Amino acid sequence: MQAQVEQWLKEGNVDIFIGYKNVDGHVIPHFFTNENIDEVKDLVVGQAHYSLEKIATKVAADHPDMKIGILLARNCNQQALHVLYVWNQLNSNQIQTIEAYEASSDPAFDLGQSEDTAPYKQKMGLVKSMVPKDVEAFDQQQRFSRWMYEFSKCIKCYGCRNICPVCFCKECSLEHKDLVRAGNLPPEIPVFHLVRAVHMAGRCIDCGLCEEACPADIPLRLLYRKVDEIVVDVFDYETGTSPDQSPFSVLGEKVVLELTPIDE
Amino acid sequence: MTNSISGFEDAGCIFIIGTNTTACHPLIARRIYRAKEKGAKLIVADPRAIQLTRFADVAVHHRLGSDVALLNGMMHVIIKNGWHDQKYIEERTEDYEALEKVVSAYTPEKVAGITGVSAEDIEQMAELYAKNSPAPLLYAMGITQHTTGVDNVKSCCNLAMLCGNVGIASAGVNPLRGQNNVQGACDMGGLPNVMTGYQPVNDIKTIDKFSRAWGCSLSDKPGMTITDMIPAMLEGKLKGLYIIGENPKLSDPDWNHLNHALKKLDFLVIQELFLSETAQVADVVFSAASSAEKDGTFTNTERRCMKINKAIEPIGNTLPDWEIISRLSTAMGYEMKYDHPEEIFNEMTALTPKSYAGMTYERLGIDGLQWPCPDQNHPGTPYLHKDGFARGKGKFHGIEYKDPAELPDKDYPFFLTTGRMFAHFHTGTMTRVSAHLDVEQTTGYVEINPKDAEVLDICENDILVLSSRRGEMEVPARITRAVPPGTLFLPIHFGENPPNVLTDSTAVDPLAKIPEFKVSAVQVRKLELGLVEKTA
Repeated sequence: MQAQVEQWLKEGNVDIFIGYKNVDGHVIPHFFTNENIDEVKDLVVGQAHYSLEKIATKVAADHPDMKIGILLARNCNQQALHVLYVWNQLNSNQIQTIEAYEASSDPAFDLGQSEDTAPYKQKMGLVKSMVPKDVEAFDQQQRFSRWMYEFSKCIKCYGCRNICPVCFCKECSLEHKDLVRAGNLPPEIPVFHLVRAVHMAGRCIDCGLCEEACPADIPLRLLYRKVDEIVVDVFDYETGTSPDQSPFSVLGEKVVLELTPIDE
Repeated sequence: MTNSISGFEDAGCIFIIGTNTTACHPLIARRIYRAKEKGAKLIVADPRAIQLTRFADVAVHHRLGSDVALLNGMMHVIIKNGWHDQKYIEERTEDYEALEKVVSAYTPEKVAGITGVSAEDIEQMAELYAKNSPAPLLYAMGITQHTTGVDNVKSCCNLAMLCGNVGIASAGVNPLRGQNNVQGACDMGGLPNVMTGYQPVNDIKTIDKFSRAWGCSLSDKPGMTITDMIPAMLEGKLKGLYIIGENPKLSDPDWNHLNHALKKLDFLVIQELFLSETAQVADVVFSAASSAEKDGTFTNTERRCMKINKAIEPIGNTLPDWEIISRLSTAMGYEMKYDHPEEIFNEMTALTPKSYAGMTYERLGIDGLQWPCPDQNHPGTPYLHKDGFARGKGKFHGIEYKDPAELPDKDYPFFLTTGRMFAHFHTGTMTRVSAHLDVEQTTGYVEINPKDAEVLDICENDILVLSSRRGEMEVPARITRAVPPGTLFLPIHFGENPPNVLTDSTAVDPLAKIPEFKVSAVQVRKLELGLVEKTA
């Protein structure tokens, strides 16, 4: 991996390579360049979970002609890149990648494993090991109260948004006071979480970074998986692999979702 | 904190009193959520409805400043029902009788009269706390910022010892410190009466030791507290002031009084990241480097000393605090020469035998070490008082309830309390410059109950005039059921709506000198816009 990156930088295949470096015991994202070619020997894969491809979008925005190399250390990095190409946040011609998966880079690692035996969580909320089908087994009232329980723990840290590889809007709806009232904890619920969920449609690649980042153990993956399901069912669009533009980036001509009354 | 943050997850019952944990210590709140979800009971006592109130098995809103009565009431119920830990009390504590005698008078009915909390709730709080060991008690400024601050803390300790909750894992008495390194600053002797590791200034052996180490003769007289400094400035006894990383123009009580005192100074020096309200009136400002721009250590609320590593070089002409102090000292004739903060750390550990002696930068590693760490092989201490209290036996204090210095009356009919909100930190010097945090809260506000708002004909965002015996200020209204009728809440972060215009600098705890920021009496009225309307 290091030899390849060194060669790319020396030969000018890439101007910058975004990978990980161990700094004072912490594995953190690092820019490797030809000017500091010696650092390439410190390039590591590690267990760190950052969205390097999101960092690439920031670089590309400032330097549209720069050739960027990216380390793909998790299974979902490639899908995240795909979404960023589809949404024109990155140009595939400017990106080179190296795959180097760590054995245990499964995003579901640790965290919340004890939830399955946590009695109050079981009674009031939703656990991370659930799939949308499990939630649908509850009646509508239960579903609503369980989601509201989870949302009411939110401390509005924006960790879910900040870590998300496919959250790239210049102006974030979550910070728009007419959409989500500001200044309170928990944030206005369920609007805060539903606005984000809607924005995940056609973008979320189920990488799980948001759920890992959430200090309140809100099962965000479960929420966005449901959104992904709807996108597949209604638009036959597989986010992260379908080559077409997202159905949400084109203006439609008719409403394809059937409107249902809220008290169904 | 006697105990550790991660240990809260394994508690049987968590008692939250005077801490809005999700807003002010969000990653400690994470542990509380997890404990609750794993089956722990949760008791929340706060004059306001806070986020954690939603998750409590019993939540009470006791009247401002009635903490001693509430805690005595709980202890009364515990003793009456025999839920206290007799064996622990006999083996590990003293003066239990003094406590029993005092709390015997605090029947739930009597306490209900003082606190406004029902007798049933008091009984339920007592039962949950006493029967679900280990039970950590968590508090913050809601307990300490009172004229009875020390009494409040002692009462928390009484309750914890009564149920054997000190000296075991996942329990204890846990003041949540307000800054990342306020524990460290105190540990380093950033107090008027102690050197590092709380070695007393007036102890001749201590002063000899430090005098020899530093090659000079040190005074054995304790210094002044901040609250003592203000009258000293007014009397002309204190002529120069050097303030490092603090913004007293917003954080000290009685704004008018303080400004008057600051004007009397011959010379004011401020060392700050940004040009705070106080820095704006200084004679000299030293611009200090931020935590991202320096090496060193922080010691957090769980006594954990951790290494920080410089991420970037200091921007502009800023310097790390240690370097500013060293240069100033050298310029004033006492040479301080260090090449790196590690040298200072090693000097400190050599002079601080009980708590820091076993720490080195290498040993701190990534996770740090919790003091006491007396020698190089000591693994650090996750919880205190395991085999015995620092003073030998844990001492109970019989403490009578006392009213706050000021209660509402005919002229000033509202209770006012002050505190924090989630988006900003203290006086806002570091957070109000962030665009993302400014979106959350751009300016100050006062929380008022809808019933009071209706009586006073107040709508959301109407400008209210709040006045106390000290002064008067204007602030937009936020109507919310989070505060009970008759009580107002002001956040402290906003210099344009300074709550310390209203608070009293003479209402302080007699021992700790901490001001009673949590209780004042104020009057409120809607700002008359007559003139503005006519011209508009």
